[in-house]
Amino acid sequence: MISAEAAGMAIAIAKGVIKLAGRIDRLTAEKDAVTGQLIIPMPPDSDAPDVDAALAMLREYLERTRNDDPDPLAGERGRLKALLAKTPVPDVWIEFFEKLFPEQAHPPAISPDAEYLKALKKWVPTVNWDDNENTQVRQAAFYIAAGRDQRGLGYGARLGLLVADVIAEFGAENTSLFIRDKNAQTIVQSVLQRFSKPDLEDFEDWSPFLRHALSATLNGLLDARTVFDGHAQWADALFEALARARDSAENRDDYLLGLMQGRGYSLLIGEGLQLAGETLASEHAGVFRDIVATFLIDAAPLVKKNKNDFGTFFHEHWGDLVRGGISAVAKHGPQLLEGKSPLLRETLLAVMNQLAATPSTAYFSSDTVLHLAEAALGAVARDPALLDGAVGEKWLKALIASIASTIHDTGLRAVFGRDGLERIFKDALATFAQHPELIIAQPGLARDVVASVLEAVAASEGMEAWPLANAAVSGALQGLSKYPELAGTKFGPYVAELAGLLAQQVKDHGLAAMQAADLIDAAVEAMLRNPRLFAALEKNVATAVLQAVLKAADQGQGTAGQVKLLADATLVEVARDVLAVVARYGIGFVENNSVKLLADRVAETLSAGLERANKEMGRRMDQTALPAVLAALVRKLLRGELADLDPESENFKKLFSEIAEAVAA
Amino acid sequence: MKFPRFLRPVATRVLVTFLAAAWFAGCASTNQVKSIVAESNAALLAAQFADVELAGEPSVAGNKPDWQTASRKIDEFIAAHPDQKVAASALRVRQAMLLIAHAQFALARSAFAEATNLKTDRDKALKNLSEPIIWWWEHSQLVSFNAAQLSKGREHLDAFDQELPKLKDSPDIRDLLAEMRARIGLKRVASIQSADGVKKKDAFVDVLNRYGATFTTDDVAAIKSGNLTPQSPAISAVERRRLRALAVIAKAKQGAQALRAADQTVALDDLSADPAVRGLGELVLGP
Repeated sequence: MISAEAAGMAIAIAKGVIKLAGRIDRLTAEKDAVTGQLIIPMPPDSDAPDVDAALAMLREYLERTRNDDPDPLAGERGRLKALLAKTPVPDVWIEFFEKLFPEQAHPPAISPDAEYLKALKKWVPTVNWDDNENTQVRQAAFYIAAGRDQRGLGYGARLGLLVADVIAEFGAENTSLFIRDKNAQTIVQSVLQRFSKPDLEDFEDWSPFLRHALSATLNGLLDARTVFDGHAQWADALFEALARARDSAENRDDYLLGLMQGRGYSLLIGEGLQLAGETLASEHAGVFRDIVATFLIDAAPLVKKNKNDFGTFFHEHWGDLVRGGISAVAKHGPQLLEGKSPLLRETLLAVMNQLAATPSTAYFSSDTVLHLAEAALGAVARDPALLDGAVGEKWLKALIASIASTIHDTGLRAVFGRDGLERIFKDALATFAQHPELIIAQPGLARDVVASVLEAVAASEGMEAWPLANAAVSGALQGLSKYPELAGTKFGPYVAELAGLLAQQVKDHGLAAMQAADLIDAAVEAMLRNPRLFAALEKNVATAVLQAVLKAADQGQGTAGQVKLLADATLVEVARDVLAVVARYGIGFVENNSVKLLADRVAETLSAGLERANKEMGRRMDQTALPAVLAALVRKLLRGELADLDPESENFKKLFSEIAEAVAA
Repeated sequence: MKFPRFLRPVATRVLVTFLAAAWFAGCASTNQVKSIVAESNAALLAAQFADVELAGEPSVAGNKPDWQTASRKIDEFIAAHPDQKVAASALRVRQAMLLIAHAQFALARSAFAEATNLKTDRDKALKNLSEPIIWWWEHSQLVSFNAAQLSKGREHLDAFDQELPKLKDSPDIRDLLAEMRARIGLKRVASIQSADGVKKKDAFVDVLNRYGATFTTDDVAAIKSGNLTPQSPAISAVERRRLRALAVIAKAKQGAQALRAADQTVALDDLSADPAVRGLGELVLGP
């Protein structure tokens, strides 16, 4: 007896074979119709004489019959004569010719195919071409092949796909016969069911077929998502969110494929879920799922409608936006998820809508999008009113547009390169994300501070500009985050001016890029010590002092063979110490004199000090003491205790010695 | 996986018999198309040679092909297989050629119009040139073209010039259409009066330049050598191109002679520098 299982399989095989035979028949019928040989006859040709010869015949006829009685042309002679006298002769001549020379006008037609057959008879005499026994040989001599088929998939490949399709259908219907594991059965069945629809042999090119294969696999896996249940709640939530979004999309299969094809998916899976698993409470999985699903569903029509290539941007970055959301929830607490209309969802949708409306977002890297989402969510978590109506729209527009316009600036891109600019923005946006209050009050900060610093550095057109620019941007933003009140001062523009000065030094005076970055750090540090002096005055004191230090360093070049004292790390230390002294004691000097005089006197003091230091080096001091000694001289200057700036005067020598010995002690 | 226990002799025989029957039953459409292809080809050739008979199955072998029957079978197949759009389109082109060869030009136009899903170079070229082809079949036996026909003929030559460069990978159809263009062109040459300036000479040079471009220097050398014996009775595309060229060259010689008589002799230097064109020119313009 045949077992029930075996009988079932036999029936399944029989059904499969019938299906296979039917579909192969359909395909081979198409193949025969499309690629079948075709005989294309050539129409018979007239052997009538050339028009010039025909006209000559008519003229000759006219002349020859001139005296015939009765006249064969009767009343037409005059007309024909007039006709033939014209140049060119009008078409009516043809009627005369057909009438007067019927045999020449309509000679037996010449068939080009008959001429070809004649040639065959001559050159292939071994075949009796007239014998009907050779009908097929004769036909073959006239066959015109179908030629190139412009489809990418030939009939051989399509036959292969057909067989694969039938096997897939068979496998989908009889998965249990091959696979014992229930989970694996569900997945394989789900994928095969999708793979075998529509009929694979109908594909004419590889590209749509491969697209279908990928789509079927992804959708099949998603259909079988219950198999993964319980392995990771956040993964379940994401799968569920994707499934909901797909079900709501106009073109379900393509929607998922589009999302998966972008880089966003792998980033999300790679990092986002791990973060989610580590930082978010499991009870929020459902809320997260709802939010992501809503976000993806709302994106579909926007992606379709948008003409600014937002589709590509979205496919590449949707994972970054979601990841930014998870990260923001981790940092700012579950309040982003709570409420009837969670802030996370509202903000993500608002950010997405604003991104779609902003040109040039194609230049955004993953880090830019991630931190942008984090920063925006952080700000909204602090102040939910930022999302309200027109105010919210304006706020987000200012934030995103200021970033986009700076990143897209071709001048800046030329100077910093794509990577350099992205690194600067990554750090800047990370600062925004850590200190969302920065952009709550001033959403255009990216434009106001970052861009102005970058533009100042770019103006020098020097190489290796990005470390300096990054230090300046970072310093400025850190400063603003510590002292928010600086936002209304000239702090930002003055930092930009400093960055420009140092960039020029890098270009023209060989200052190393990393030292320039350290110098900007030192300057910003000093500015934050005394914002009243460094950020509120009409003149940029920090730039003036730094210029004085650099001038003294230039003038204090040692003679040949002598070591240059004010260079490299020492230069940075001296600048740091001098700026600190100015921060502490400089306000009185500036109020009673001017910033220019301050700079001139500081430069003179440092030059005199360096000259003495050259002579005292190894006697009363060493190199490490130089920053402290020079800073002490400047302190004396600012406190009005140093009037004589002649390095060879006894007063200066005595003061220098006292300071040097005090520092050494 | 457990190996099925049903593979016992009787059961296996039953299953195999059933499957074989199912398989053969499933070849109906293919057989129908094969029959259509064979009968239509025979009917197409019969338009040129009255003695053509059907070959193949004993039931039809020896019968005279009937274009109407072949055309009707195409209609029936398409009606019975509405889902086979690609096959239907290819069969419509075949039907159109059948109708043209039997002077059913209006029906041929309808058949071409229904061929909307074409895949091969041959079928696409035939559809794209359907109007020039039909026009040539309608006018090839006229005594001479009048002014309107000369103008229309020029338009059609331009259509060939658009299409032929697309057919480099399909020499069969390229050669056949190039020959048709040459024959239309030579008819125009014979219809232009030498008194009408240099139009006649220009038209002739155009024919040689275009037609010559389909040849290789090997083709020309073979024709010049006078040895065109094919390798076997199964004529290749190259061999057919050379054999069919003989009649075209003979026809072109008449044009060259007419121009000489009108003091508008065409010289080799009037032709393009392509060695194959010059070679064809030597065959046409020479003694």
